[in-house]
Amino acid sequence: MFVELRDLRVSFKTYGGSVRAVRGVNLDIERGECLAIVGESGCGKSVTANTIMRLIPSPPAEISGSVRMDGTELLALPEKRMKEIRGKSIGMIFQDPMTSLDPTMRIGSQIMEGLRIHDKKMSRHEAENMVYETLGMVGIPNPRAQFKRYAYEFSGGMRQRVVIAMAVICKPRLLLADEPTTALDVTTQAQILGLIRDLKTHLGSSVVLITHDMGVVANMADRIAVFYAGQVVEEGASEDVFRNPSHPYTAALLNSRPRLDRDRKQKLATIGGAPPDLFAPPQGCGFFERCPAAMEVCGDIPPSRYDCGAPGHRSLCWLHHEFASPRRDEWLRMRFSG
Amino acid sequence: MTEPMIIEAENLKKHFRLASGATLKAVDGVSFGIERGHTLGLVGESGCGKSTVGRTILGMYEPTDGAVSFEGKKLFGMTRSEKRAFTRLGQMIFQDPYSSLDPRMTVSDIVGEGIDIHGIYKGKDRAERIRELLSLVGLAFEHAGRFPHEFSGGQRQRIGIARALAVEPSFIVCDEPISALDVSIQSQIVNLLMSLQERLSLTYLFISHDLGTVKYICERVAVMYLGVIVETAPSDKLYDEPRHPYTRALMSAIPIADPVRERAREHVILEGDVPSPIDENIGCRFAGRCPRALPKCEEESPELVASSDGHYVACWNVNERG
Repeated sequence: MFVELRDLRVSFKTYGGSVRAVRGVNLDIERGECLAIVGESGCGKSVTANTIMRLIPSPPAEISGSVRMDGTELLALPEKRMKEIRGKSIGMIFQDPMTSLDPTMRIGSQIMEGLRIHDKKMSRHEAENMVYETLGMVGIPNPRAQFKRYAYEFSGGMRQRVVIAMAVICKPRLLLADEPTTALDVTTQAQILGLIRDLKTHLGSSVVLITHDMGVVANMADRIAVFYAGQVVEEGASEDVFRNPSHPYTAALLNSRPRLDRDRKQKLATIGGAPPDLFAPPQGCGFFERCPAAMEVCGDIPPSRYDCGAPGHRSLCWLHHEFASPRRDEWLRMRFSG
Repeated sequence: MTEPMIIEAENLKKHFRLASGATLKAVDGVSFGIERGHTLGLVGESGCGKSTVGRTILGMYEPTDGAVSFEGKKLFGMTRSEKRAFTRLGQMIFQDPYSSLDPRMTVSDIVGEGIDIHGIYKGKDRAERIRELLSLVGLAFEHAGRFPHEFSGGQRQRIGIARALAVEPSFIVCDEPISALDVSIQSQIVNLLMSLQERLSLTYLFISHDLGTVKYICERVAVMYLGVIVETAPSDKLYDEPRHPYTRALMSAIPIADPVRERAREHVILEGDVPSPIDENIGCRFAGRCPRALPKCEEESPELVASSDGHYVACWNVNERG
């Protein structure tokens, strides 16, 4: 396995107590695949990505568990070694292209910065040529002329291309994309998603795509991990999760979006209530209070992970326990009607 | 179908003069009408002028040209008292529930402000009305004394909706009311808006860039591009057979939440960005990015022409070839 996360836990101390943002995440990322992490704000998806990149200083954050890439334990690496990996082996695309670029630096120098830090022997001339090549690769026309411009001179879509150029210039083996298109319009989103897909093929990198948009997931992902309240509640191949959602949260997420390919006037399912308070995480299942199929056990004992048929398709839900089979079958029949 | 139009815009234009002396044509000749109890969806990408349309038809901006009539009366040219009555009947729900509520006012102040300004209820009736409004939008009366920061995004949006409803409006402009909310909360607010419409026979102008939601809520949809409407049709028709190349590109850019169908369908990916609304446009505004542009498109601006019953398209290709 290329990247393995085992029992990853992250919590932050605040005046109000300790927020358990990530509560025991296990994830595998294979070489060359696109893994989508889906979930609402506050479910721990960005914290997980930032922890892989070691962007969360600890202390003050409390981090436990393991993040291994090619067998190397990233969480135990000294900062100096991590700096060699960050930006070189792992690239990151941030959500907001308006704030993730330095407004006082020319975009060419910004893209080149990472390159020259990781390869001290590279001459300026060589580095500049690499920047031109990368700018061309991310679809910025006339790279030589753009090199000396500033971020404010670009549109949102073009800025996101610059951010992507910065992330891929060192040809990372793992690319973390945290809501890369959320701040963009749909037509620009289509351009950027196409670009990330091409780069993945071209560089052979693995991509972790963090998003809350199931449409984007369907377009991009080989595999999906659904996050809820700091845990992976369902994971599996993209087709399996969409065709056979096996956690009530996943099904509700799929049902609650009005879809272009469905008829009007079909009732829109809702998920009542709000996600649990992670200052005091619930004793049982995190989705218990909002779950349409909840059973008594769900409120008291945290569910185990069960296989849902297809290889690698797992759900963190008591419904898949053998004793719950009548209830599960009833839910499976009802799940798409909301 | 024979319901009278409650609000009508006719060749509405709103230009802004910039500090540089250039003119930004945010809205450049938009006409539409909404029947009582119906919802018109106004869709388009950021900067296309959809929010400016919403603000102008509520009288928040004075139009550069064109007219808005509400229940048959021209909005600009109303007497003071007529205008005051209109500010009660036409209300707005804003996009961002965080910045559109005064952090120093309690919920009952926020919801009650309009009631006081228009002197609709006083004393005990006022308190009763606030209780009724809060329960209408799914909040409890205990919430009345709290401040906005004590609520989640979805709850705040409910407060914004209660504020709009407080003065008993008949027409509401919903300016991206769900785009700042989480997916699981969006559907709650959509269902709330729809049930309120049915119960209070409200008319909505629903501004959004989310075509899925618009299809779900609206009887009719108008697609805007750079200050003009390029296509308008009854919802089902527009989604089943979009005719304008921009509408088609917009539809194909929205990913469908189904991996098999999403990968199988054809995607039209537009090149480049939306041009600036400051530049002078002579021909069709979409011509520079249009995959089917003709020489004529660069020279002459197409008008909205009926291509079938209730379906209007502004495109030389569609209008001349049928």
